[in-house]
Amino acid sequence: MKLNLKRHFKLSQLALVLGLSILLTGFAGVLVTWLAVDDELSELLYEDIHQQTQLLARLINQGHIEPDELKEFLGESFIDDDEDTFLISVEHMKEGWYTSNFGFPKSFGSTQTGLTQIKYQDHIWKGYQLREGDLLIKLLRRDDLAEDIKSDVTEDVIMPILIGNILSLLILIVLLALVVRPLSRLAGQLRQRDAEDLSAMPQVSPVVELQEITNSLNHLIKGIGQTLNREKRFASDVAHELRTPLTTLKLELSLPDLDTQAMRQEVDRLIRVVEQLLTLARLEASSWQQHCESFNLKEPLQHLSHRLSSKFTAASITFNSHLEDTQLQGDPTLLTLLVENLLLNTLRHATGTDQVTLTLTSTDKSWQLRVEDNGPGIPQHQRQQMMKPFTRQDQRSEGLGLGLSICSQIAALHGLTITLHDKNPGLTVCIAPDC
Amino acid sequence: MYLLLVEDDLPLGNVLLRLLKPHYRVDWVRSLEQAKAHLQASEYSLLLLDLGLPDGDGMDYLTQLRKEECSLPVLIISARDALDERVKGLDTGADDYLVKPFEPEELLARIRVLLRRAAGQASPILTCGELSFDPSKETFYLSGQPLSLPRKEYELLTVLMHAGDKPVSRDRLIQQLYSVGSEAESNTLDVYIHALRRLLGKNRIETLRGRGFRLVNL
Repeated sequence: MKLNLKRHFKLSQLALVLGLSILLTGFAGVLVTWLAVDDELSELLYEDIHQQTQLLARLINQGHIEPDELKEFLGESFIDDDEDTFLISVEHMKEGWYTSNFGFPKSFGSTQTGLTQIKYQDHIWKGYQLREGDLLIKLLRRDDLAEDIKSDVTEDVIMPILIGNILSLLILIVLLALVVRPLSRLAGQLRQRDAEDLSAMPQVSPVVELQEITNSLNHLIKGIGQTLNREKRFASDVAHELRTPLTTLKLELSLPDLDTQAMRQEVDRLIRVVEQLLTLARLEASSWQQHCESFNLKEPLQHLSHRLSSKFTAASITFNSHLEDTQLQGDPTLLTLLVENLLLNTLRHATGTDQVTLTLTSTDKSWQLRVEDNGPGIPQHQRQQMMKPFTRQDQRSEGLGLGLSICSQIAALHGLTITLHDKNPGLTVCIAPDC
Repeated sequence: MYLLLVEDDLPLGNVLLRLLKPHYRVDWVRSLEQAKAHLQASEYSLLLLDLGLPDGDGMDYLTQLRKEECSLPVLIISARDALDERVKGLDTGADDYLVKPFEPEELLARIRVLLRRAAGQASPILTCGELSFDPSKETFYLSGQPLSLPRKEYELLTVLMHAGDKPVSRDRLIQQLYSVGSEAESNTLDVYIHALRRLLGKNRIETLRGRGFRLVNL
């Protein structure tokens, strides 16, 4: 059965209902037990008394006990000597004799068989009277004794339950203190929090589940902070990458001896930054018009290798490419841009690199592209981070740190996976179709 | 005057150097490490500091400099234009903060202000008795008449003028004339001082034995 909890309710209201139900259960338990014990005990006692009156009547009627022996018999045999809570009287209404175990006066009133009740010696006595012919036998028990037994039984039965109930109430109060109040405190803190405030939330309760909520919130806040920082850093990098060449151009124009070569380079630099930003914006908006076609990846990569080889030579790096024919579906421009970015990365982080290899291998079912270098590599912990936009490996790297981010977005568009592996020394970047 | 430019961007550094060279003696370095080495080796009048440098943040370096009680005037040149960053830069101990891109005239004017202030002068014209100097026109006047000084003599007199009545050491003056590491002949300095004395009058430049030279208020 599915519990339908569509209506809103407060946990504290539920706790109140639970507390009330515990209290009610306690009271009802006492009451019901008392009544049940009363009922059962009365039945038990009066059944016993009933039988005893009949036994006594039979003994007298059959002549086993003479009326003059009766008092002694009642005192010695029928009940214990010191019994003062059990009262017996035998009366012969025709012969006129009367005996009682402790001088109970002959009473008047009803002489009918049945339950009877009298007041004697400041006590209520309850019992049974039996009329057999002219013989009237009364057996009565002092009622306070029965009350004591009832109290004792009720106490024994109900006490553990009551203690349990009190403990439950205490635990409920502790629960309220540990869960409900900290929860509302947490809600209050979140409500009052400034959108700018990205500091960690304090723990509100020693309860592990609530601590986990706080921990998860803090984890989230930290993540938001990191994202904001990265984007802030990106904005600052964009500013730097655009303003620095603009400053150079401005200063250059103020000088009498214009260095047009330097100016052209700075303009190219500005164009590159703007292009990178536009590529990223378009990729993020997924508005690239995908010119998806079937083509041989080897061809554009051959052109690319040829185009970049002079740059590698200038940086004293030996560049080799081994390209196999690979037919695939995709956008040749984008995929070439992806490989170009990877190769330019190896150039950019070229400290200690003297060899870069581009390999494209193809089998019937799949293909793989590898860019390998023998440079410093990327530390394990930075690799995941590197794929996010605006992340730069270090302060030294120029540019916007968009290279790998653009790469991974192009790869995602084509259903490709980029993985980074240690080569010791160096780094291998692998691109292959998703498994 | 002797400036240290810390800028890692090659084209910008180049053009700044070409902009400043006609007015000041400038050393250009591209990292904090080099900047530290240069500051230890020479006595500069002003530090032009870019913030995003390959081996650290210029702001951190400035904090460290001020902690070491270095009173060198510092002008930050940065692309970071946010208000909090400009305020932080100034509060860290920079004397001025210029956001890229800027006009060359503004940079030069701000440099002049910092140098003048470092000399303890509020007036745009620096004076020492009959001798006065207008930094914006880069001209010295003696009794109101403009002086025509050769390049080296002009540089030496600028340093002496900015020092006010404090003496300037021989080393500092030699640094103004020759780049670090070049074996300058100490007596070449005396040649230029002699030339200056001939132009200004013999008593205007005082020689303090073991402490250098000082302009005299005449």
